[in-house]
Amino acid sequence: MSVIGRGNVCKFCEDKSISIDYKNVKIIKKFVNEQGKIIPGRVTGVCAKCQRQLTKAIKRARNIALMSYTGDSFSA
Amino acid sequence: MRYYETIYVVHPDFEDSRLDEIKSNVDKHIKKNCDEIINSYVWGKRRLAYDINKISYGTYIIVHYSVKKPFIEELNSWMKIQENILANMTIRLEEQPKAKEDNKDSVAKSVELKNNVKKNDSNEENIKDKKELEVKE
Repeated sequence: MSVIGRGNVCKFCEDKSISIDYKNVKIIKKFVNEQGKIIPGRVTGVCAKCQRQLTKAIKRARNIALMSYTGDSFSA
Repeated sequence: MRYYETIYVVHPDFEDSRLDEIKSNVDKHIKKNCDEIINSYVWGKRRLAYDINKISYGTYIIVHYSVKKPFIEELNSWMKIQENILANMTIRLEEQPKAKEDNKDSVAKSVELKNNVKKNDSNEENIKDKKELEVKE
């Protein structure tokens, strides 16, 4: 699943079965760049509502060591 | 009614018996204040994205529960003191979490099996008794 360059369709609105959860690291780590920074919604095409949930999920995952803060490990 | 999810990380080298001990200890503490524990299970052993106390792997345990009075601050401060818990996080859930079928099934099955065994035993005993009585008569 490539995140960037897929037009303006929100991935999560398109496929309702994908849950935005901090435990779902495989999905949410795709919305973070190599430095571990959250990619803005205007680049990925994620809608505002889903982007808010996504941001929360990424921050939670970082807190419990499921994702890296800096992106230097396997998360990027 | 509010629903919460607590996730905590313990040392990866702990055996099942020690893991159960920690789990039951945490559950006991949560049970004091919560309404009902819905789920409590080991999520799995994972590589940590960054080292915690120079440890790079961890076993994650998840607890779901419902609460009438919030006690999260107290729980957090209690968890911080625990030596076995490397990291912990509590979040509020929007919806009621689904009870894990595996846990319930296994518990229910074991109870059912036990009951069945007991019933069978008692049935057999009854039959034996009846036969003996008939013979005596």
